[in-house]
Amino acid sequence: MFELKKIRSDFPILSKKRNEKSFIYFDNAATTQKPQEVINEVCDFYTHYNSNIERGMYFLADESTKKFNDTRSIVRSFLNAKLNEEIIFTSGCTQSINMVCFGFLNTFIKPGDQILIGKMEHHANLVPWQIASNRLKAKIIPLESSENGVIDMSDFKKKINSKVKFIAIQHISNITGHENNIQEICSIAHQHNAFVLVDGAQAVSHKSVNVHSLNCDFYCFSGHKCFGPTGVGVLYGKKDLLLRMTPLLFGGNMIGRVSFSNSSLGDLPQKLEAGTPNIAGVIGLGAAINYISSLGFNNIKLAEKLLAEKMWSALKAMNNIALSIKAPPQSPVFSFNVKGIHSYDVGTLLDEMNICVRTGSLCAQPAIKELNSTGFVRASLCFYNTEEEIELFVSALKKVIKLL
Amino acid sequence: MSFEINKSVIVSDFNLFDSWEERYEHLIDLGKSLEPLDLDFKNNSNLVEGCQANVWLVCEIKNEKLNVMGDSDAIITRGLVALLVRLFNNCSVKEIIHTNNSFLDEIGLNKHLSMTRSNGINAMIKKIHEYCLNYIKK
Repeated sequence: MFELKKIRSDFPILSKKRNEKSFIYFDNAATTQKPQEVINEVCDFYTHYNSNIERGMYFLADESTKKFNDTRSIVRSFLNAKLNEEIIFTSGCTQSINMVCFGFLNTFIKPGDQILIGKMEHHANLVPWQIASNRLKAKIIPLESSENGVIDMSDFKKKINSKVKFIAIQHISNITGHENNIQEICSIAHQHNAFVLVDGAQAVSHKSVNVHSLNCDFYCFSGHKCFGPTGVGVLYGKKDLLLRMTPLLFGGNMIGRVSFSNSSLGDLPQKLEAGTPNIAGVIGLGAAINYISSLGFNNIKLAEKLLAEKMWSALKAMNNIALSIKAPPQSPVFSFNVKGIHSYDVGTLLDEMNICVRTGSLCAQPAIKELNSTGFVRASLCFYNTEEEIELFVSALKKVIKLL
Repeated sequence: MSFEINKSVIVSDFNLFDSWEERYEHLIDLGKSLEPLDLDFKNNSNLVEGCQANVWLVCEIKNEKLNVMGDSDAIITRGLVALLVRLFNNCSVKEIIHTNNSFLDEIGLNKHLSMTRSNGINAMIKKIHEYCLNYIKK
C-alpha cells in the first residue's frame, strides 16, 4: 500500500516550517530528502558500533564490517549485478566517473581514439572525460540529442566506428527527465568493441535498474540522490574491467603485501577502495535502498507518473511557460522558463513562498546551450510530493509572473 | 551626499512596506528605473563573479568620489544593483572603504529578503570596496 501521508511522515524534514508555514521541496534532482530510517541507521552506527572495518579483531569491528559488507550485497541486488566485488563504494557519482576516466581509460586508450559523449551531459559526466582525453590525446565527439534531450540514435549510429573506444551517457537527463535507450546503445557499442559508462544519478530513485540486462560496462550513482547520505556513491563495473583498472588512491586496506620498497595490490573490491571508507554513509545507503525496496518501484513509478501528468498539464495550460521539452518526461523533472523573465527572479520569489526549486544552468552549461537557453527553472519531484503541492506551485508561479 | 545619509534614505524607504511582496515590488521598481548600462560596458572585465545572474559593475572615481554604474539580466538583481548605486554613488572613497556589510542588516535586506544570501550582493560590494582600496593604494 502506498499511503502518501504515512510516507511523508517517514521524512522528518517535510514537516519543517519556515515562517510558520510548510515548504514545498521540488529540488529532488539535486538531492532527495532522507527518511528517518536512514538517519537512524547513520546515528545507530556512531552510537552503537562505530569502529573501522576489515581491521579490528574485536566485536565492534565485526559488527561494522558485517554491516558494511551486507550493504554491498544490498547494492548488488539493487542493481542486479552478478557479484559483490563488482560494487565499489565511492564518494559519489563524480568520483565514480573520475575513477573510470583516470584509472581505466589510461590502460588502453591510444592517441587518436574517440570517446562519444552526449551533448546533454551534466558537468560531472563531461569535464573528467575532457581532462582525461586531453592527457591521452584522444578525441571527444559530441552526440546530438533529440528535442527531448535524449541521444539521437541515428547520429549515434553514424558516429560509432572502430576508433570509438568509449561512450559516456546519462541514464535519465537531469534537465528533461527523459531516458536514453541504454540497452540499444550498449548493444551497438559492444558490436564495435567500445565500452559504455552510464551515469545513473537521476535514474536510481525513480526506476529499477538492471545492469545485467542493460549490459553496460560501468554504472554509477550517488547515494544522496536516492534518499541516502551525502558523500557516498557507487561504481558498478564488470569484474574483468575492474580488474584491469588502476586505483586512483593508494593506502589503507587496499593492499596485498607491503614491504618498505614495494607493495602489491589487494583483491576487488578493496583494491579500488583505498583508505577508511565512509562507513556510516555506506550503511546509510543500505538503509535508503531498503527503504526504496519497502515502497517498491511499481508504487513509486505509479505515484510519480500521476504527479508528472498533473504537473505537465498544469504547466502546458499556462501561456507564458516555455518548457524545455516537447513530450512529457519519463521521470518527474520539469525545466522551463517564464517567458521574458530570468530564471533567477522566478526562483527568488518562489523561495519567498517557501518553494524550493533549482535555477540557472543546472550544472550542465553545454546542455542548457543545446536547448537554446541561458538557464532554466527546474522543478524536480519525487513520490513524496503531493498533488496539492503542484496546485500551490502553480498558483505561486502565477503570483511570481504578476509581481515581475 | 554621504553614505550614512544614503543609507538612512534606503532604510526608511524599505520601512514603508509591510509585506515581502511590497518590498520586492519596490526593489523591482528600482531595477526598472536603473539607467541601462551601455552594451560596450557589458564585457567580461566588468562582470561580477559569484552571482547567479549576470551582473556588470563599472566604477569610476572623480574628485575622490565614487561613480558607480551597473546592470543585470535579472530584474531583482538589477534592483539590488540600483540599491548599491544609490548607496555608494557620490560617496567619498575614504568613507566607502570604512563601510562594512552590516548595513544589509540595517536596511533589512538580510531579514526581509531571504534571497540576499545567494544573489551575489556581497560579491558586488566586494568589487566596489576593492576598486576603492586599489585607488587609495595608488
